[in-house]
Amino acid sequence: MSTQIRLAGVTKRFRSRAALSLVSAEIGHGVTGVLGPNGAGKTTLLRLVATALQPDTGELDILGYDPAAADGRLAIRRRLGYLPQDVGMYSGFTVREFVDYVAILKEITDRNERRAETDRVLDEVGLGDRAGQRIRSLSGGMRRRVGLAQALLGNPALLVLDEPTVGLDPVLRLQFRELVSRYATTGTVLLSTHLTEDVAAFCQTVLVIEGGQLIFAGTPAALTSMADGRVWTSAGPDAGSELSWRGADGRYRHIGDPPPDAELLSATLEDAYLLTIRSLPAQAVRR
Amino acid sequence: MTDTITGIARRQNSPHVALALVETWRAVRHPAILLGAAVGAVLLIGPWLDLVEPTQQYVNETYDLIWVGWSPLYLGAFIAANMIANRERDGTTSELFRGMPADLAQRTRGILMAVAGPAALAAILAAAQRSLIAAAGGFTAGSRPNIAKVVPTWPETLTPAIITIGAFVAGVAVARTTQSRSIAMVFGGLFAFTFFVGYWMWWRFPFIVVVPAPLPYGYDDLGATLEQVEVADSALTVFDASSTTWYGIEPGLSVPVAGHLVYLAGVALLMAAWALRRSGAAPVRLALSGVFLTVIGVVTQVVAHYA
Amino acid sequence: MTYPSGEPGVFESNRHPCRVSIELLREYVSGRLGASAAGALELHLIACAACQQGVAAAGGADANERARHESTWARLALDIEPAPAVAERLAIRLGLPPHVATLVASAPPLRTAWVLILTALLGLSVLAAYMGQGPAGTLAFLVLAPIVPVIGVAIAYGQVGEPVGELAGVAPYPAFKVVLLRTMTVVTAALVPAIPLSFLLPAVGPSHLLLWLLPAVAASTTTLAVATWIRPERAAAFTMLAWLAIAAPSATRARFLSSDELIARLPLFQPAAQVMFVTVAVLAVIVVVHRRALLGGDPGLGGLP
Repeated sequence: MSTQIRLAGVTKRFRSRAALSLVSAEIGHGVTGVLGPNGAGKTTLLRLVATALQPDTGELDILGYDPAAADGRLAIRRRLGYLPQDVGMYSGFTVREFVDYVAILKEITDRNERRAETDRVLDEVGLGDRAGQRIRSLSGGMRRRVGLAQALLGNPALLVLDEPTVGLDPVLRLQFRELVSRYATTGTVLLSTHLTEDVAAFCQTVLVIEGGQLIFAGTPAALTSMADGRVWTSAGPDAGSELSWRGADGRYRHIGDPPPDAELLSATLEDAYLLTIRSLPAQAVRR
Repeated sequence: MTDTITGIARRQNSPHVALALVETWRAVRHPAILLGAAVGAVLLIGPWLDLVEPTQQYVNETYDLIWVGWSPLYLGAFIAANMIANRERDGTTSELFRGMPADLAQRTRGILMAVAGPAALAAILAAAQRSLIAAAGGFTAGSRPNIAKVVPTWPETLTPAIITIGAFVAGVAVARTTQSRSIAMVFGGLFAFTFFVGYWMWWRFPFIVVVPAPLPYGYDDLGATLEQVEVADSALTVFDASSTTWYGIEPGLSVPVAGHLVYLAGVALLMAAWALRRSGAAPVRLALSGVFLTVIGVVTQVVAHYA
Repeated sequence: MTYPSGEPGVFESNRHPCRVSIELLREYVSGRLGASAAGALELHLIACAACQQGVAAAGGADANERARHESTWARLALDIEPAPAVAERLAIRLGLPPHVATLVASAPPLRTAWVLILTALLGLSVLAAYMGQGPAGTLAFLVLAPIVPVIGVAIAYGQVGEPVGELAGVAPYPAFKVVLLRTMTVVTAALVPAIPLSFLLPAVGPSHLLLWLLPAVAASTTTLAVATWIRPERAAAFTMLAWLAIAAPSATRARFLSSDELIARLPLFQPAAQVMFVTVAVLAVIVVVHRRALLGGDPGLGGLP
């Protein structure tokens, strides 16, 4: 695997709080999923890779360029497609006008080339027939697709997507996975999510972040295996296990040591994830 | 579906021109500008459509209001520019655009260059206004016994375009200072009221040198007594209730008027430099040009006053 | 402590680090918790992710809502700047609970710089009245003084990331009380310096205080009333522009009048107009009282519980 993104000892603080502490990782081609609860630092990590933020300490190497230097940042941004978490678009613009505007910002200055590229990305996300519609009249899922379309402009070598599937129904999520997987065959995709099924479905690598620290980096299979032999089901709740909840079928699922009369279940990625992040205490906020 | 993913930049040119074109096209169709232009046209062009000079309520009313009457357009330009420049906010695309090759300074430059649209609109409207006045034979300036028929010169007719440029650039500058559109409206409304509705309050030296709405004509201090005035051969006026002297009007592009327009252009450049500085650029040449023009404009007006 | 089970899929953890129970969170969400307890809980909520989830769950929110709640609390923790000590202590002395005092006193116009700027504007008008500008100075003061408090309101709420606005979106705590208190504080702070200044105007004596005070009260109450429909800073901008539009004809006619004639002849300063201002103020107060729960709330949420 050739490393596309390298982080070494990266720290980022906001006021007195460390959003990321001493994170080191290497990310290669394909799809890398960043998993973690809200507030864990996923967005901060993605913003650092998208050159929207500078780290306080540590080194960053993105596609061979150093984002600390202005020309390095420019070079990265020319190869980057970024979709932040909440993209408020210009509601008065039409879909085409907005994507066209972003295309200009991506330095596609020739008008015909811009038109062709806009049509291409809108077709890719399935909004080709809605190009003339105003953004304010679109549903949340369609707006998210517009956001994805603008990220695809210019065929970027690196796609950074922050919680791209939130608010998408399962059909759209499947289409999204297909689209992203195609880009990932020769490019790099870094996406964050708090949905383990996204990671399980199509990420080659997964990073788990909690409390600003990287607590796991590896393949989804490796993460799942951490919960092997520790997932059980029984009829009633158990006070002794790490985690215990009631499923839709009325039986209880436990992670940890087996309670009495429990059956062993095969672990899923979600179980392993919950196990990994289970008990870190709430971070006190110093004012 | 594309077969190859290059990931290499297709263009190394900066997108200035493309940005400027897109922004100009949006600006000139902005409802605030169109509404302002329509109201101004009703006030200033409408009365002249029958090619007869409209009656004045007081001496010099037409001359005083000739360019101030376009205030709705100036306010519209300010509002439109502020809304366009404030499109990109924390709640909208400011995070998204952090990852773009065209940085905030370039985006701001694009919006600033869009001033060409509203300025051209103002110039065309002013030209129409002036043509109608000329066709009607001009308007009456001054009070009896010394009156004159005045038609504005073409250089004077640039005044609305220059003030529009100033208002538009101010809108962008305010947007780059605060993201709150409400605060911008408050500021814009207060400014417009103070200096455009209350334009006459500032038509005294030295305020007259620096306020946005210029006195449209040059004037000579003729003294307080009627005997001196009777021998004057220029059109006469007083300014307001507290005036104790008569003034003689100099129609046409006088030196003070020209100086004021140069001053306004200088201030517009300074505000543009401020907006760009707030966008992360260091527009030294622009700022220096602004200072230069502002100083020349002020000095010209001051010298003309005392000469 | 555990969250009681009952609904399928509700998450239970035996390792909940804090002692807050779900019942307490439910009381908070339904607004039955007293002011100081609510305040203490909110301070805890800023730090405790599990309780944030609990609040969202107790309010019946779905996953997206929960995410929004959490990110808002996190932002609040970062964004609430320390309030100026004097204003905050004064607010507490007046009987406000500490966390409300913080929010009320954190309004920018209560900072020294803004108080000085707004007062200076009025001071300049007084100066202009004496410098022989004709009626300009008097006119400027009489037009400006009524909207100085309204401008203060716009500045108070117009900043990006304004904490009260954010709070209204996630806390069932009666944000309208904070908006009301804060607005009244800003208005008072703006009007107090204006009164002695108005006595300095040449043509305006103590008997003419109402000339601008009544419009000021009308403008401030109208701002509050409109703020039950739209955001406070927009309400302030709207009210200010409306007042300027009303004053514009008078400003144009004032050109050829002296200061005394100004007050004697312009419609804006006649008793009939004063009566109208009082009427507007009374109507506005009625609207505010009737719709007070909607003050400062996110219009999209349809008001607060």
